[in-house]
Amino acid sequence: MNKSREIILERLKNNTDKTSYKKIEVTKKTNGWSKEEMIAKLSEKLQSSKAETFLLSDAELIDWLNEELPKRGINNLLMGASIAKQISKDINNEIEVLKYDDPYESWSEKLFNETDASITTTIGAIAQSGSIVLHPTPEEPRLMSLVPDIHIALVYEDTIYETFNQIITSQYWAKNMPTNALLISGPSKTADIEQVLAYGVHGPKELIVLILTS
Amino acid sequence: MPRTETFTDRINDALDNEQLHSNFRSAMNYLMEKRRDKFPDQEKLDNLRNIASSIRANSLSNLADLLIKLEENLESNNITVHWAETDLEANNIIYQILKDANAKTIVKGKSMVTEEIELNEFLEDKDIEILETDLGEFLIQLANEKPSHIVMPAIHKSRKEISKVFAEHFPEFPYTEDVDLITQQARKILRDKFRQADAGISGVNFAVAETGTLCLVENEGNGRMCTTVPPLHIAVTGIEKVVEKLSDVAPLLDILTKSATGQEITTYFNMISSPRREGEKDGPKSMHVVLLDNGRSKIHQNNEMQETLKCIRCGSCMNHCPVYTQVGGHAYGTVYPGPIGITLEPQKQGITQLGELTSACSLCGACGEVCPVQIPLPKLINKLRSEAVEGNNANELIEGAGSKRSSLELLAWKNWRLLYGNPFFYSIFSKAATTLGFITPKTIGKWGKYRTTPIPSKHSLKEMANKAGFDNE
Repeated sequence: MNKSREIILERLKNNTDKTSYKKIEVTKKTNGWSKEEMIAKLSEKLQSSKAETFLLSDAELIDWLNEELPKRGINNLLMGASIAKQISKDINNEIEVLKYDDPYESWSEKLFNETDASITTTIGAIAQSGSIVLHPTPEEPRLMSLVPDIHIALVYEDTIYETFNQIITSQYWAKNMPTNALLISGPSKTADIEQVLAYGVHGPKELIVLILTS
Repeated sequence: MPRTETFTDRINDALDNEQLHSNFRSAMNYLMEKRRDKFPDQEKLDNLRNIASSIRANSLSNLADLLIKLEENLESNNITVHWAETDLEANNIIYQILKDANAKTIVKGKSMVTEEIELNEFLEDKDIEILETDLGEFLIQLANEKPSHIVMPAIHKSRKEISKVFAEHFPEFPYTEDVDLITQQARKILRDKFRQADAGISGVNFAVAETGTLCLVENEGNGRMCTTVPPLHIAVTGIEKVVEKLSDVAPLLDILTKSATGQEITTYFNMISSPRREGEKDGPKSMHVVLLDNGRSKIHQNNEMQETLKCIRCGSCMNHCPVYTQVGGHAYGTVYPGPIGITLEPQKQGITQLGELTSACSLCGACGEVCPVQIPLPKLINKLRSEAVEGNNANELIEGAGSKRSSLELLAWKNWRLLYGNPFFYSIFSKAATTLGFITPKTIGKWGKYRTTPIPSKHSLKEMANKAGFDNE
């Protein structure tokens, strides 16, 4: 190991004060929101960050896509294999189904310049902060929720948690961290010029969250 | 931006700049109001501050062990760890990684620690193109300036000034002062850059020892671009940013975003635990973390000053600082401005060099009240002031302690103590002051430059009280 490592660690250990400051535990108590309250809170928070939310049943998903995508000028939609299996048969045939089958490098230009929208699953959502939570996978890689102008995310109503800590502990993240975990709480934005909010600076210009009821 | 010679010069220049005042005043008002709206319940805020402060104090009290644990977990996640004791060492490490990968064009996410080591200048000298991608940072890089605020780097510039700089650099776009249009133009320029970059460099908000995870907080998505698109990702972090558990992250994130910009949460919270794994189709192919000391382990040795290292860089202290609001970030001449800057920088660079920064404080206490991790900033600033004149450099850990001692000032305070500590001397002094008040000089040095010179009253408070019939003897 290198010299700097030893010097730094040695100096840090030099502090003779051996008091270990105890952490104050975060209360595990939640508000006990019902499913309806969770949905309402999540939607309200997401909308206040300029995301759109829709409450649909699983069966209504395809109709929503067929109606909304053309209206929004979406000609192609990037999706993983499971969503493709579920919808590609019934989707309006004017909409091209794109898949992320190959490594990013082999189609980066198309991903950046020709992909209108993506649709991804989520592993849940956080009602309190209005966030959707993604653990990207080989099927739904990291850039799917970042590069296309419009990101559509599916949240199942029974995967909405009240707080960030609740989802971390309930899903045992610490034992099984994915390569990348993401909380997304709206479309990309900035307030760097005179504190004026502007959307779609680098990431998606629109975030659409479809909350699916069972 | 060319920086004028002395701190006083810079302060005077800033005070004379009306545009700067109005830019900062309106930005700080906006940020203070937004933060206030997010903490309507004082009790809940206090509770959250207690939790956040205890997490940071806990990290610092186990810092060596946590760093070893972090290193172990990062390495087992396939992330290479480097240790740098100084800024130069960090820059050399980064340069070597880039050289080995033959990386010539770099995109960077906003990171104060890379400002601290002046990485851009270092790499540019070696003919490596390094591009800032956070919109604010991108704009001030175009203007060849430095950030004036740690969260909102271009806060000192007006929309007009920005439009002008933008038009100078990108004449292919029509001139506009419309924020949405400027943003979309920047999007167009930068998206190509992300795609073509050989490497991405980022900072770190929290590094989780338990899982070997790097957490990044942002709104724009450029941080995600820099850490996901290029084949190589290098993250640079101060050694103090480590936290023990994954569960420590939630309360810190909560109080960070609310304190910094008054947001419930930022658009993205990006937790990176590994480069691209077998079978994955994107993400960097290799990842490196540079753990930077640069004075931090020295600060860590002094238990009182160690609290400086609890900082989570929200910028709330500067948003609420009356001095910062008047003079802006550049006047300090250091990477970190405002209350945290005048506390941190003299400790890092020595009191001899930067001790005068601590005078940029009215000890109003606002910074200490809003700090999300309860750093007692006013107390630390006061401590540094007293170290500057009373400390003994031979015994002290803070470089330059005692260097501001002035024998004239010392004599003045000795006499003051004599006068005020002895009733006999004091009565003579107050008699002299009230009867001879008319000979008080019209201006009294620097202190009197912007103030009306006080003239002692003809009667002391005691005389007047006695006359009015009070008798408290």
